[in-house]
Amino acid sequence: MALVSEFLKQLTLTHTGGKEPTFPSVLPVANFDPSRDAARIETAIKTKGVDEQTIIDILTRRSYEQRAYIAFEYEKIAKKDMATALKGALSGSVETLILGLLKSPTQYDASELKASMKGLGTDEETLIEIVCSRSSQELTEIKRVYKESKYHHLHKELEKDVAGDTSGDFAKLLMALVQTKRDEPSNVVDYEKIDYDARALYEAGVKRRGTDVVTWISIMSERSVPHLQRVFDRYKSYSPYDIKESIMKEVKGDLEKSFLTLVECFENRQLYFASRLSEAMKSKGAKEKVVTRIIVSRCEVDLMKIRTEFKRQNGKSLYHTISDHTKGDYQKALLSLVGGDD
Amino acid sequence: MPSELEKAMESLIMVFHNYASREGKTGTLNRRELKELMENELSSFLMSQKDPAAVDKIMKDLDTNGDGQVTFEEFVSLVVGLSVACEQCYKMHLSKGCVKKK
Repeated sequence: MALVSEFLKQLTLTHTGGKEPTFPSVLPVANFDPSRDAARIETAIKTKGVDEQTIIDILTRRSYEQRAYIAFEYEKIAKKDMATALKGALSGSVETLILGLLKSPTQYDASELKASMKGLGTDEETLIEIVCSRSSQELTEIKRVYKESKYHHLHKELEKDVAGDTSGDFAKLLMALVQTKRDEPSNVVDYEKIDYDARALYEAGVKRRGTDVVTWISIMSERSVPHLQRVFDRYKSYSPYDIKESIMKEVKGDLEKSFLTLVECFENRQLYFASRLSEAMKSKGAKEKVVTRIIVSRCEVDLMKIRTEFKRQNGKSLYHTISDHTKGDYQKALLSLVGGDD
Repeated sequence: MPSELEKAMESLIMVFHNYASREGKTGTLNRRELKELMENELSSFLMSQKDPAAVDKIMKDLDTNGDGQVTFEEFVSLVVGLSVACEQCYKMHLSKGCVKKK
């Protein structure tokens, strides 16, 4: 059957079987003794003037799972919740960072999203950063946690809150992403569909007056990432501008930022985070919330790779840049999570 | 008279042993034997990869116990994976064929 021969030409090796490789800077510590860690933290909290160094040393060099065990042991000996105790003992940016470490990655993302939409006004940059960089699986988990009544300050569904806090095409894009309709990557490369999508993107944008944003949104939120990488490549044979240039030409504001974030994350997520970090630390007064969030949320995922991209892009290492732009206990905690100099 | 399916299974076994017996341990494929097998028997697939390291990646995937040798059992998982993917193409091909008939 010559058919199989033809089919085989359309297949591609993908590594979607196993999990994506991770490049954490924080690993579980060997010879883990949660009761000892909990006891040391209790002592550190009770010490006059609070021994922040011990708290930082322990909690920034344990995996999230290990921190959860420590919290459990802490509650047994101190008869109170460790997060609450640390909230009282610490303050400022280091407090925010340490409390962030005590949440699971999903809880952390969910609480950061809620914070970006709470009250009057919306922190669009944070919303865009999280919604556009997390995978479908991560967003699905975040939606689940967002709803759980255990976190009493999170009621309402993520979709409802996003819809309530954003408007226009920007809202449509975020809603589409939050609805997690993205295809799973497939071993079959559908060359016809790649061409069709590339042409559709071109005709909806650069080719015509104005932009058919709905088409852009549906293609970029529903196709699998490997498929889209090929679509953006094929796009160059139709459009004189590549996809990022086209986005900048066709749309503005939050919508532009969102599409660009999506495309950058499809291409190289770690480079995106490295760029976010270097932007946040450009001025003397670092945007500490952004730095904390990225370091805390990526330290067990791909912070090592982010370090590499950062050095490549900026010439200076992440370690060095953080040392220049932050100080005190906050700096110590960040540097501990980053793991080392490059 | 062997059935179609029995003939297919026999081919699988014969192809494997044809290449596995060429060097060293005769019941398993080493990297060189795997490369020869893929270049001769799966050239269409290899051609479309455009990745010179494709054979190495496949070898790493197949050699689950990491001993540098691919047993028939480890090899067959590649055939299964490719067959499943080809069947997906086949279904797409059938549905497109139906559309054209209109």
